[in-house]
Amino acid sequence: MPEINITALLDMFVMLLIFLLINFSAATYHSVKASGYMDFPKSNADKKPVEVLTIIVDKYNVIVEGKVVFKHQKGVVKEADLDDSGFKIEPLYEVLLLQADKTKYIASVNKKLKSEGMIVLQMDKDLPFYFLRQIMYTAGQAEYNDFKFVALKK
Amino acid sequence: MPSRRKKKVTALRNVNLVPLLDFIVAVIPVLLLSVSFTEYVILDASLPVFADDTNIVQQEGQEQKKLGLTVAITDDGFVVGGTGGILTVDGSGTLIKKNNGKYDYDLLNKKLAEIKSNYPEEWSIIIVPQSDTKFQDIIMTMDASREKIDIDGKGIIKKKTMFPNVVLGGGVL
Repeated sequence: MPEINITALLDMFVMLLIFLLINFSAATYHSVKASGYMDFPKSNADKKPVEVLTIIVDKYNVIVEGKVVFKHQKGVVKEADLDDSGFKIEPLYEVLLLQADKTKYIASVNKKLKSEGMIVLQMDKDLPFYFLRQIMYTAGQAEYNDFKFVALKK
Repeated sequence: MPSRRKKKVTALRNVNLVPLLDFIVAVIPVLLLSVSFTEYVILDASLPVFADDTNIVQQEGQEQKKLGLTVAITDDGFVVGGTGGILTVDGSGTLIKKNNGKYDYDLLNKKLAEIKSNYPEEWSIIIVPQSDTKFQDIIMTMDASREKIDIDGKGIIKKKTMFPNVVLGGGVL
């Protein structure tokens, strides 16, 4: 029985393997979790994402640490979830306050950690500024003042 | 009797590549699943802060005026202003009007580059969107104000940093 020459196939696989390994090392931002209800805005920025606390704001939900904190309709929050000023979103504030305490504790143990006050915001591109303002205000009240917006590279 | 050299060549020809192939075939799907073909980036933004007097700073005994550059995103287009005035664009008003119903980011970028050439030590900009301004428009405005991108005749891209420190205004505090 004649032998099949697999050298050419192996050549192709090795090239593919090298290509994938290069992409793998250059990649991947694990904090960006694909949400079926999320369209990222596009930007020509160059900064790579950082691994800190992330608020995911898709078309229907606001998610922190994998848990849905509250729901909204096109950026409109239920009145019951807002404080008297109409800016602070109470359920989000409570979750962020807990996270801030955790971060402070970790930072007190691990002196190298410098993520205090930093928060990553993944937000749907069509949501309005007034909703962003409410989220930023709420995060600011929980001592998160340094915002990083996530976008897709153009 | 075959020579030693001939034996060596025959041995090399008969290297069993199948285990190597097995390994590669196993690794490729793992890599394919984990590789991200979309690249994410981040943009910095911060909340406005209160200060006693943000417009005037004392520097080595000299009074230096701060620009206080502000870009407001309105329904009609961009309004560019600074401390003590609003920029006039080509004498036709204070607006960088929309172009065919879309915000003219290129013109905004050009005008901000002109401002930057007059204030090279200024790095901050306040962006004031309207309540209903979409997040994508805010990001695009931040892009237009952050850097000037020029492509020369040879196709080489040159980036010049303009106003990377963005503060989002609009009654946050």
